[in-house]
Amino acid sequence: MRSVAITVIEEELPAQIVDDAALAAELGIAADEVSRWSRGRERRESPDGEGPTALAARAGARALASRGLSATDVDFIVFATNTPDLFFPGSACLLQGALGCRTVGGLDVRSQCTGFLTALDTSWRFIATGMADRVLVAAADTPSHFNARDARTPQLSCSTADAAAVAILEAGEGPGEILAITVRNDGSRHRDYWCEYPASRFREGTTLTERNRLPASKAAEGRHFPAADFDRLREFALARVPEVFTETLARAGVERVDVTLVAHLDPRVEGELPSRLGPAAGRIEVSDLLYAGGSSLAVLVARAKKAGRLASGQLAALVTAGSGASWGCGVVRVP
Amino acid sequence: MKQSTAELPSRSHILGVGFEVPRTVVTNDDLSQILDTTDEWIRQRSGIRERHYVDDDQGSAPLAAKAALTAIERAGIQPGDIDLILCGTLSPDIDFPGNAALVQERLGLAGCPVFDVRNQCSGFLYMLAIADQYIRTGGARHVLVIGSEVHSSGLEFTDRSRHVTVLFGDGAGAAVVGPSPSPDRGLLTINLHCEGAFAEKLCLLGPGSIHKPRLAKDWTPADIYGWPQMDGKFVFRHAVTRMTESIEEALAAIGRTREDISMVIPHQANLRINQLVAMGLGLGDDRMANNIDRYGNTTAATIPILLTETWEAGRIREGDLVCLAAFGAGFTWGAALYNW
Repeated sequence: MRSVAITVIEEELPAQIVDDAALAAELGIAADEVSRWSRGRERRESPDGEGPTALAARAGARALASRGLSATDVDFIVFATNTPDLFFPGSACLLQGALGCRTVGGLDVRSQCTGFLTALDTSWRFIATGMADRVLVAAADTPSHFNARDARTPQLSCSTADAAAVAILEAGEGPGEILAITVRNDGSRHRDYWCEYPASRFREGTTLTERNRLPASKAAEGRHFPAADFDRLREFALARVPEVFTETLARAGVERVDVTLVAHLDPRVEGELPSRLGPAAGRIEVSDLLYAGGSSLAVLVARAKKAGRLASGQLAALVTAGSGASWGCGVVRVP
Repeated sequence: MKQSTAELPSRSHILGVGFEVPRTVVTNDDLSQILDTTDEWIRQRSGIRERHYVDDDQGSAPLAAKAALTAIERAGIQPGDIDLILCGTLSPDIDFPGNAALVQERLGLAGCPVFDVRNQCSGFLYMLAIADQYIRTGGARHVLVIGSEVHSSGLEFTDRSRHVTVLFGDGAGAAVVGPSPSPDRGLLTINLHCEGAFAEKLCLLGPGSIHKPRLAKDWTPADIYGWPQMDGKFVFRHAVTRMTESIEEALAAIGRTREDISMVIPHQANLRINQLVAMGLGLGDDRMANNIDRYGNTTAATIPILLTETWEAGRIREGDLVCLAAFGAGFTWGAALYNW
């Protein structure tokens, strides 16, 4: 079985910065309420017409160029998003077209907040078995297109922003090597952070012509917007992330890492987790950007590396938890 | 990842299959009562006579869970032996999280990894490939792979969309994938493809996050943005070409020929597509299964439903070279060959 490494990772942020005052005006709430949730982190938002694929395509083109590759060198695409451009088909197909890849496989995974970890865990296996030699892994989310932009449930709009990152995986050891990934789920907690509609399980009325996955009455209630119970998510993350961190380090065969990168919807978790993880976690790295769903960890790795806070070959743990409920940890050598 | 290859299975295999469809049967004549269409028109163009619709607030996850339990029982394992759940659907119960989380809840399997695969009509093939990778790399021993759809709550029952609406039905099919019981049996090869240039030839545009907001404030349920759209002739032509190509690619990958195929289990989008693929490959009806006449197109569920029925009918036997092939929205397509 071949070892697999992340050979390059690049992030892409939308150009527009929306400050707390501007968002407060849009939501119709006080600016200090927005600031309470954003905690000084930067909010980037992509405009109408620029979904996750457009962001991922720019990150992907840069990743390929920095590795000296062309799009035709990619032989499998995995795209993790919770906010796809279209209801269907998925964004991997759109990215294949946008980058100009050959008609290789394009896999769309939905793993919510653990999207990047799930995409990585799936992708390295395709290389390890020899089914692929080079996999392009995209993680991108545009929650600003998805969230309710009003005063009813402002926390999600205040706490999230848009971003994308693309990693390229190839066979190899040393810097970038993926040592162990663990993702876990508990579907009984799916209401902790969810979006109910469109919902194939519901219909309105009794005749076929009245059937509709997104009845106007539900849309009027705002039930097509995500909802999150921040306290439950926080409590769950603080309990489960340390477990999966310990488990994954053991599977990777290491006792400690140099740095642990933490991403969570609730910034409080990023502050509270280090004491739960203990000295094995090494230095803690959190983002200066607002949370961007399953792409957050990938963006964090790319930006920390670019800023020189991660050195090639360092041992890094990537931890997250959120919707699903899903939680996970990956141990890699920094590319 | 450091792991000795000697400890790992060299192949994955399908250890058990099952399916579930809702009780209510909707015939072409039933549809002709509300749409400007006829039984003859639908049958001539698609081969469909009837399809099943859920008749209560049942979504695609409950159907998936029922199909899964049958597959688990036939695999000779317990639900607790499942260590990865993959669900393919384009009609999830709720917007997020995906159906895999809801199936996990129903099966009481908290703790194992689960995720959804959104690869439309080719979803089952993509999931078989993922399952194969996890098993061969030691990431899982028993993978539950489910395709499930409830289309009937997401179809527009107006004449504008009749050419799409008449094609689709509700249902779920599942497989347990595990280590092959012998080194020469199981998955021999699989190829996967996509081509995003034709994404809007068969699509459901919204709600989609390319737009901000993803659902316009002036949206109404009558907006075509919220209903599936298809350029039928374009999709038909590409389906015949790509399915044939991918089956040929799979055969070439293992040095076998068309004559070696015992049975093809194709995606059920349109009987005429499959008839042309069979003709191109020189396969008779005895070597290509179809059941679209009774279920319509159940998207990610067509292959496992048909595989289950064909296996139950005794048309797949140990040692057969079985081909699974799909084409659909994306476009996505692919083919797999199993030594059964």
